[in-house]
Amino acid sequence: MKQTLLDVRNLRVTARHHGRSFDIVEEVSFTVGRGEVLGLVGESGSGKSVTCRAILRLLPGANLRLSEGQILFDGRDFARMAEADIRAERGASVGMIFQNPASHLDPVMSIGDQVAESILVHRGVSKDEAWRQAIDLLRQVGIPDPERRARNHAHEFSGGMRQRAMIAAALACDPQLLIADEPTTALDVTVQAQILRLLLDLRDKRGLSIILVTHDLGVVAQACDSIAVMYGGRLVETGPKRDVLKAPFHPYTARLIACQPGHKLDGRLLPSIPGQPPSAGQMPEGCRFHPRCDLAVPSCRQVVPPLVTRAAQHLAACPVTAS
Amino acid sequence: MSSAAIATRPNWLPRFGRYPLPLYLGGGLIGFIILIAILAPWVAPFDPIAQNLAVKLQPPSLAYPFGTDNFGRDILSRIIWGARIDLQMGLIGVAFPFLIGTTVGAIAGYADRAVDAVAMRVVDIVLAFPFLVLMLAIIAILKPGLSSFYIAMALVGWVSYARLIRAQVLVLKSADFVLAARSLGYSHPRILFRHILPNVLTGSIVFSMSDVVLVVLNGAAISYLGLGVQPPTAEWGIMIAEGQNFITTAWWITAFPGLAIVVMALGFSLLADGLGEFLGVRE
Repeated sequence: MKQTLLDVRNLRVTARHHGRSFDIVEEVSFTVGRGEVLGLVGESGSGKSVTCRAILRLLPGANLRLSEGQILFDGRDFARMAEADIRAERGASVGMIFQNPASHLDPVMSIGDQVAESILVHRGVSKDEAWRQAIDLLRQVGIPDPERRARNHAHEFSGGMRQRAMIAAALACDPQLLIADEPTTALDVTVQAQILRLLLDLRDKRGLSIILVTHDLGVVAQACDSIAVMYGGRLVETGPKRDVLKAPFHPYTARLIACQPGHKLDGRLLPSIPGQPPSAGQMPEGCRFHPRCDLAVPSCRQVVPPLVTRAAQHLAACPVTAS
Repeated sequence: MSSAAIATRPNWLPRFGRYPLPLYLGGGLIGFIILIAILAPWVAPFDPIAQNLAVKLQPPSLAYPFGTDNFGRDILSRIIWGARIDLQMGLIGVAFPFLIGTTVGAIAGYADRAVDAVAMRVVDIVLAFPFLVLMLAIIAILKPGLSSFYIAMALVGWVSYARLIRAQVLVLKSADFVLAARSLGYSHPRILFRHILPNVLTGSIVFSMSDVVLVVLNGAAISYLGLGVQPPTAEWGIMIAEGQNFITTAWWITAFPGLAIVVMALGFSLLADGLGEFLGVRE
């Protein structure tokens, strides 16, 4: 068992909207070991991104609040830190990259300056030294001719190159954890594979831990060590990748896997899960998934099923498949 | 972005080299006025305030290309020396509102709602008064003169910059690259002044160019009302004011300084236009 780097316990994010408050993320607990790649999977609106942003206390807007839980990073609790302290952790301990590298880079600052700025802020080295390190980083993430390209702006880069540049900026201060929020969703399939390989490469070279948010189980199968599946703001299944993909315990995970395009389709339509994912504030009682679930029994409508250990390190929140 | 801007430019706008044509024209006109102002002691044929009643109210001639006024002063020389005052008036009269307005607007847009509300109510109060009346009141409380004009301009003129910048900062503060900057642990002042502000500044730089025109006209109006530059200093607004009694008999006393204001206004608006196109504010 790898040493634990991040231990998220009982995370809860509450939204306030027109005087009503409801939970967007509930009772989410997971751990990330050193050098481990965790895949955080779920449909749009399942709370993946909010969970990620909550880890760095970067929740959007004043209406969202981290209302409960602990975020233990190397023993320090991010949830209870002063604002100035958590700011010092951002970039230095935990880096973050995003889905759309085009809009997440500053349009009027050169790529080299953006990578160097992070070094300048956290390390306090000289400008020349920061620039030299930035070029070195750009080379490490596979940008050709970095001395010249560093002077370019984001609009002069291709999508894949932008994502590489963003990875360079996020890793500039050598963080131990990288949160990658759908880093390959906006990219071409061929570029996707390159970026995933780069991330895994960096994991091997630097011992980096990665939280890889995605809704693409193919990406998970390629890149991750373990999986956490979210639905309606709650974790429904967590475990080692192989176990979860081969023998899922939660019906939602099973349906999700069945929806992946495979080889055995023989011209039949790709299956889908009927119904809509619930929206925040209108969560069904009991198990969040019961309105769309084939296996639902009456008790599913009343009690929220807890995550229960079903096999070695493999947890699922479905009492029906357990009995 | 630059390549896209070239591709979508209407092709009836000629372009020489890297910069749009209006930038050359505006830059040329303003450059010419600046040159004249600097070289005033050498290029002006006469002393701008020396009276010579023997040649009063002379129409334009070879000796006095723009004619003389009712004190026999050479209009051309007065316009050349006046360029110093009017340029200075335009530039200083814009610089302070620009700095104050940009800072207030940026902070109001970025800070929380309470700060924003206070700043915007102050803007509303300033805007509630007619512009010129407020200027006159402030100058009257201080004392008539150019420095009072600058102070009044700074107190009144910043509101348009504050509104312009605030609106754009408000949009950009939830932009993706700002979130990315926060995820790298940057402080709020750094994010605001190094990442957001450079992205919104172009709009107000372009606006400030056209604002120079308004400030010069304002200054001319204030001088015309006797509260700005004091006679016998040569300033285009005063010259127009002084010439109005003779407008039926000696049109050149008012026409040429008026023309000078028009040329300067044209120069700055062309500059604003070209700059806007060059910086990508307008396509």
